[in-house]
This record gives sequence, structure tokens and C-alpha cells, in this order.
Amino acid sequence: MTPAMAASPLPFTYDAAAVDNGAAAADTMVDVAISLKLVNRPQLERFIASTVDRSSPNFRKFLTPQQFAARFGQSDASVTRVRAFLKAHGISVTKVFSNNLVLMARGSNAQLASLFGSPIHNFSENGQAYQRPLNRLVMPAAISDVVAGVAGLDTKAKFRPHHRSVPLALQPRSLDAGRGVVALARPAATMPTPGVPQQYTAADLATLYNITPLYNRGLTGAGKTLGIMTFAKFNASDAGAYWGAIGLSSSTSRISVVNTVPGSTISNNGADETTLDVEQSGGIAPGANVIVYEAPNTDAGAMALYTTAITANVADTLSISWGESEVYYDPAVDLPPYDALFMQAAAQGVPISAASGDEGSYDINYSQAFPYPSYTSVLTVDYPSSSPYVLAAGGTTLPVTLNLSHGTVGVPEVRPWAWDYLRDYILSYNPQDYYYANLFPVGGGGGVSVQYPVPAYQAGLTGVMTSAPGQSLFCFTSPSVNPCTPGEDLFDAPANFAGRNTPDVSLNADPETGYSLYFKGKWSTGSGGTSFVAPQLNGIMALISEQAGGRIGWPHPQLYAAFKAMGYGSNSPFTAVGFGSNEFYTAGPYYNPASGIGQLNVDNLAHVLAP
Amino acid sequence: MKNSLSVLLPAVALAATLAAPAHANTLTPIILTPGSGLTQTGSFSDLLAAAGNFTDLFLLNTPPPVADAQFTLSAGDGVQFTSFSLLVFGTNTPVPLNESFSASAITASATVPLNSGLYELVVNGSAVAGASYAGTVTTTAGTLTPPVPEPASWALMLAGLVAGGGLMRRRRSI
Repeated sequence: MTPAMAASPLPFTYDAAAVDNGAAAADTMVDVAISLKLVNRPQLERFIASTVDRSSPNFRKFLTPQQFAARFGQSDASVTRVRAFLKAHGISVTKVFSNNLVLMARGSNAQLASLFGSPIHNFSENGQAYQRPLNRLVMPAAISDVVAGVAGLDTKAKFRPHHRSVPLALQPRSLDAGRGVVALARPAATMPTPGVPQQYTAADLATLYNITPLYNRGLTGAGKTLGIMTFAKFNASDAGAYWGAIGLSSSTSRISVVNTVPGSTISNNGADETTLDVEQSGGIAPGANVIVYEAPNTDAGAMALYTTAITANVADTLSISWGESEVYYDPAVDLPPYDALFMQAAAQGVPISAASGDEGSYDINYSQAFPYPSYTSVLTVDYPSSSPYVLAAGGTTLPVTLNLSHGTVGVPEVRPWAWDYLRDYILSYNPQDYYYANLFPVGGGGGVSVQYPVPAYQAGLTGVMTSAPGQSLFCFTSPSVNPCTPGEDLFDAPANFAGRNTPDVSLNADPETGYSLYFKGKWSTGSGGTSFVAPQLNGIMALISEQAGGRIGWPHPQLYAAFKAMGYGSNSPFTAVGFGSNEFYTAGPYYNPASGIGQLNVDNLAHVLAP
Repeated sequence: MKNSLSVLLPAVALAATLAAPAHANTLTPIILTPGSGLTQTGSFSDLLAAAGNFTDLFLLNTPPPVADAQFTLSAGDGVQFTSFSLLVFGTNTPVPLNESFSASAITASATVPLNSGLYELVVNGSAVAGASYAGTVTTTAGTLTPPVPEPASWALMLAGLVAGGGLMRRRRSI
């Protein structure tokens, strides 16, 4: 009875709120990132796997960027050919990255539109002005054998920070840390109290996830460098003050900042995200150097950001707390260039952690994009955490009793973060619209990729799932934030796809059991989101890297192998998340797309990764 | 990327909680409203302008997963139902129903939990011009049926439960 499903090839694009303001100025100069095709990908895949296989002679024998370029990048001759071609069309190459996979170039709109076969128009959308091509780009035949894609003609800000705060209706009268009740009015902007939900700091992680033994062994991340990749600026003084407040050195001399698009303006929008990334990662690894790689929040910015951070090869571990729904990416055009970079990081031994998202199992139903119930719910995951070469950082809620205005709400044991446990309370005292606007969907991102096949490290694992049927994005009622035509079917997600599952591991991310943040010279409480977990994993990897005396490498096969061997038994690096869901996927003592493998016991993890 | 399956609906129909199809063989959303506890309710109907056989399609979206889904349909004068079914949208996979069926009234309940997603209600019948019918749906939220661990995994599960208990005790002693 169902009408034939219309073809809905990825990527999914929809911008009904965008107003076309006509052709962009022909003489406006634009910076673009031109990605070249990876060479010998199957060989690279095998090499990366061998670097984390203890039985291989390649175990932890990582490549330098130059070695990577020589084996898997384009030849110098090909790069020279692309440069010459671009120059002949009036486009100047401003930088060739040493991986021989990415070139930064600069040309006018007229030149770029002509070269890549699409008019470029100005648009305005919800207060944002940007330009983008009207049509899919066509690669010139002369360079299509080596060029994978071009980013930068679309200047729309796309990535959102995965950072959340406690909504007003849920701000507590008092807080309860397990059975150690702390009678406390809504915290003022003061120093955080250790061990109190909504005021946790990086220092509390030591107890929560058994990092203390590493500190007792003198590990601080000394001699290691962790990198934060971000699309917003920050003030280093905030991080210094935060560290000082939790008993660490407040010196900011270990922080350095790199604008990966020199001369570009880095936005303040999301500065709190960058701030918390630095505070958390550097707070967990207080001896590590911190490099903050910044870029404009655009496609070209993302390419420059990843390429710079990875090809510089200074950071021993990296994280990013920004992302967007995976289905927005073209699997043939958009993802291969990113794959190449994340694989390069793995080949160089650098783990990358990324926030898995804050919309639970419904990443695309972000309130500013396709809010439920105006749009139907669609099970979707976030990118770059869905990349099989990126560690997907999921979120949990810790045990807590929330003493709210009209009564208490309790979470008896650790569970995946999702605010379904607040549903009944909220609907008792607030209109339905409030619930949907603020509490649904909210939770730790997780689910099944419809872009990446299930990787070998997850294949056959109990609890790994395929994509669910019946996942279509319909407009039910047109919301002001993103208008649509009621009844219109916008996107049909592939069903029964055996894809990569996210997250990989989870730590506390629920703002209700969340963190203190020091931002713009002030303390605030009740912050959360998987954006806390990604930099925490970054800091943890820096500590373990110090213990290992070298880089850890691609973490996934190592983590999953440990899980398959040890489960949740004694000395396991993992503890199970036993109940609850992230709005759809249910947790249990096995792998699940709500909490991944589970929580970390960092000391045990250190013994596994660096025996 | 817009899908060719698009359905245009009168705005006035969507403004109301009563969902009414614009004409046969279109897909009409059913807007669910939270009820008591974990329930949500919605309604649907059709005013059949033309005489003859009809097939109406309604769309039901169920996040979170639904443990129980109940449907009632009541025919007005001049309407006779011939069948009612529930399909997973886009797959034509029927959801098994416990159904009490007559030409003038139908009650049905899904015999299995509904995972999060889109479902299609299919109502077939015949009518005289100007006749109508109405229906309701009530869902009760549940949880996804967890995957059944393989036998080899039971040892891991038990170890996990032990470890989880230990963690809980530590937390509470903070």
C-alpha cells in the first residue's frame, strides 16, 4: 500500500528558510580547500590496522606526515599539475599541505563559478548571510583524476557545538550527590563544590572514572601535546583561572593557538565550547601542552582545521566537540577527503575523539533544524563521530536525586543521558510545547551510521544494530525556525543498513549531573553535553600516551579487542551502563548505541593500552 | 532534497488535532498529543466527498518506542469499512494487529511494540457521497526490545552487572 519510496540519495539538503538574494559579487575573493584523492586506500587501511596489532612488526610504528604523503598522498607531479591548472584559470594556490592531499587556493567568485560549473548566489537565512553554489560542482576533466572535492564556495556556518545547559524549568532548589546530600540553593556564580552534580570539574573525573592511580604514578601528560579543534575563539585566561580553582597551575603558558586559516576571523559564537574543551582536556592532563586549532565555521574551515591539526603532527591526541548530522554529507564527494585526514591521523598514531551529539538517537531533530513534532523523528547520527576512525564520545547521566520546584526526580543508577526521565515531571507543570522545545530530543548521541559500513572491530558484536526501517523526515506542521510544507516527505533514511554504530564509550554528559564552567571570568553550573566527553577523552589519552611512552594510535580496535576479551570483568577498562535509553536505543551490559561499550575505568584502560 | 512522495495538505486541517485527508491515497499526518502518564493520543478522520470505494492513508510517528498502540474507528452513516491495517512506512511490512472488525466499527491493537519511526494506517471502505468516519489512536511509550545476547555473552553480562553494582555502591558512598 505504501507508495514507492522515492529515491533519496545522500546527502540530504533542505534550506527552505534560505532567501536567494541573487548572484554573489563576481569579484569577491574566496578561499577554498581543494582535496586530492587518497592513494592506495586499501593498503593504508591494512597499515593502520597493523599499527595497533601487537602481533604485527608494525605495532605502534607510526608514520610521519612526509612518510604518509610519500605512500598515500598524491605525487609531487600531480600536485604540480593541479597547481598549474588552477593558476591557468587565475586561481592562486596559497598553501600545499605536506600530506599532498589538500591545497588551499584563492580565487574570485567569477573564476571559481566558471571553473566548477555553478553560479554562486548570496543567501540570507535566520539572520545569517552566506553564499553558496546553486548546483552540484563539476570537477574539470583535466584534474578530476586526482581532485576529490572542493570546499569553501559555500560559506554557511554549519557546525554546532554539542554543549547543553540545564533549562530554566529544571533548575534545582538543591542538589544531591548520591547519598552525600548537599543542601544548596541554586548555585550562585561561585567556585564549584567538589563531588556535587552540576558542579563537577575535571578534578572530579579522577574519582568518577578511576584516573587517580595514574596521577599517583606521576602521570600528568607531561611531554605530550593535546590538540583541540574548534570553530570559535576563547580566552586562555578563563582556562587558567579554572585550572587554578581546581588545584592545578593556573599558568596558561602551555596553551598555544593556531588560526588554521591565516588572516581569517574566528567567531565568538561558541566561545564557551572552546573554553570548556581547553578546561576539561587540560584539567585532566595538567602537564600536557594544549594547542587550540581554530578555523571559521565553514566547510573550507573544517578542511583547513583538520588538515592543519593532523599534518602538523604536533598533537599526540586530538578532539572536536562540533559536528552536524551525518546525512548532510555526500558520501561520494564530501566524506572521502575527511576520511583521508582521519586515516592520516591514525597512521600517525593520533587518536581523535569527537562528541557524538546531544540529540539522543535523533541527531537531525535538533531544535534549530528539524524540531519534533513539527517534523517527524528520524534516527540519525552525528559526524565526524560516525567516522570509523574517530572515537565517538557518548554521554551518561550519573545517579542523582533532583530536588525541583514541584518535587523530586531520581535517577537511581548510571544510565545513558536522555531527558526522558524528566518527561512526566515536565509535562505535569509545563505545556507540551515546552517539553518538545527544550527536552526532546535531548541526550547522548548514538545510533547507526547510514554512510559507513560496520567496521571490523564492531562486526558480530552483540548489541550492534542495523538502521531501523520507517525513518523518514516528514513535515507535519511548519515551524518558524525552518519552514516546510505540511505533508511533504523530505528524506528517507536507508533501512536495515549494517552501519557503524556510535558511540564507542560514554562518560557523564547530562547537564543535570553536569559540570561547572568558567567562562568570561564567571562561574556557571549545570553545563553538559557530549562536548565535555570528547575533550575529557582527549586528556585521558594524553595521560595514557605518557604512560605508554609514545602515541596510542587508532584506539577503536584496541578498545573493542579489550572488551571482547575482558567484558566487564575484573580489570576491564569498561563498566556497563545497565538500563535506560538515549530516547530510542536501550542500554545494557553489552555494546549498545545508547552508551557504546560503556563507561571507562581509566586505570584499567591504561594498563591495557600501555601495559 | 525533496522527495517526490510529497503530499500537500490544507493548512486548516493541520491546525486542528483532527487529521483529515485531502483526498484518497494521500498521506495525512496524525498529530499526537501527550496524555496521562506515558500515553499520547491523536485522531484522524475523513469526509468522503465522492461515492464509491476509498483508501485513506494516515501517518503515525512514534518517538519514543511504543509499547502499546490502540486504534478505534467509527463509521458514520453511509460508510462501510472493508479493511484496516498498519504498515511500517516505506517497507509495506505489516504490523500484526489484534482486531475487532465490523463494517461500522473497528478496534485494533498492535500485538508487538512499535519501534521509533513512521507507520502508515491504511483504511479501506466504501461510502456514499458526503459520508464520514473518525478514528483515534492511543499510544503508550515503552522501550526498545533489547537485542538478545548470544550465549557466550551471558558471562559478560553477569560480570557487567556485578561491576555495575560495585560502581553504584561507590557512588552512593561519596
